[in-house]
Amino acid sequence: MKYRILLFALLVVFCGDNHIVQRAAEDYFPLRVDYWWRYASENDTVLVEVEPADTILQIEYFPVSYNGVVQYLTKSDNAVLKYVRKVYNYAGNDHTVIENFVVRIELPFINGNSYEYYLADSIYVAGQLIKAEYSITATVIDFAYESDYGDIYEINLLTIESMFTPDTSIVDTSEYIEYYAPGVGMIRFVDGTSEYQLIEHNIP
Amino acid sequence: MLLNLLLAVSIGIEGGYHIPAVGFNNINTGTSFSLSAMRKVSFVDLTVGTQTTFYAGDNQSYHLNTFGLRVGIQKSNWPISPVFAIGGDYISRDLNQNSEAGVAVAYSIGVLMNFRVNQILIYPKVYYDGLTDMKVHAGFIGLRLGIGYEI
Repeated sequence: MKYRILLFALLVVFCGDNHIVQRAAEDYFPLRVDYWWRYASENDTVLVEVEPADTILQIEYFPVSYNGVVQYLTKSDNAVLKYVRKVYNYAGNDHTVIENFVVRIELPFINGNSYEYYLADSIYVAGQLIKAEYSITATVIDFAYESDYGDIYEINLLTIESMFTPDTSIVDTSEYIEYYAPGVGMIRFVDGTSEYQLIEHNIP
Repeated sequence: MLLNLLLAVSIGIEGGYHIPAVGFNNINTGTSFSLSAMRKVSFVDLTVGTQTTFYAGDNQSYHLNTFGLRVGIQKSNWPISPVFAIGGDYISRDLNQNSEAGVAVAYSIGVLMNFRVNQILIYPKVYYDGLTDMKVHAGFIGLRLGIGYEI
């Protein structure tokens, strides 16, 4: 009887709410063709679909459609990278200023991890210096247990896209808060003032 | 009494590799060390020991380490013996100087081969080393070489 109580006490101690094995062992960013997630806010829905892989800059990536707006994502050993291309249109022709993959999410998730990645380049178009910049700053804010999913990581992402010409400066800032669950991926995100919740998904 | 207990004990040191088998897709390989004492209890050999493992992540900045205590049973007088052990591990993981830690139930199931030379016991071992927080089970295949000495 003594041993059973000891074993039970051991299990209680080890099994509390700390799911370190789940956080360490599971995939928080599943990315495969035909996976999809549908999110809903109070007055809108967003369908995120992973399309068949393709290659840019000799890197295999997945086009990921957000209600038809495609982002190109690839997953490496240490991160999820996003393809960034900034073009300057002059006299009806597009001139590429920046074209590269940049880290969007560092993996694996660790509470408190903070990072910043930056792309910048410039070209001359019709004798004018055109400069573009893209930066992403992110912090893994916290993790918390949710009964439906397990330990959920919350990430804050800030992207700044800039284009400078001799006459104009265009700076576009976007901020997102994203929540990731083990084996599911993003289950919730806040885009500006709207919060979207995962309502269904397909991860075979 | 204590002397009697000590005289009936073998001590062993083991080292080897761990390879992810279930989960841990972001881990490359791990190096494992353990120190244990073994004593005959009834018809089995009871082992009590500590084990520490260092894992390198696919992301070179990521590391996962475990340290724990195990209680196990085996048969040191059989040429080939099954091995069972259970205990608890303290797990820490870090990336870019940020870290998380927690505890998990740990268990090992495997087989070892016993080679005896006088009082020295040499035992290569292959086993599954599992970890669970009662939410998720994951684990590693371990290959280890142990050297023991009968006091």
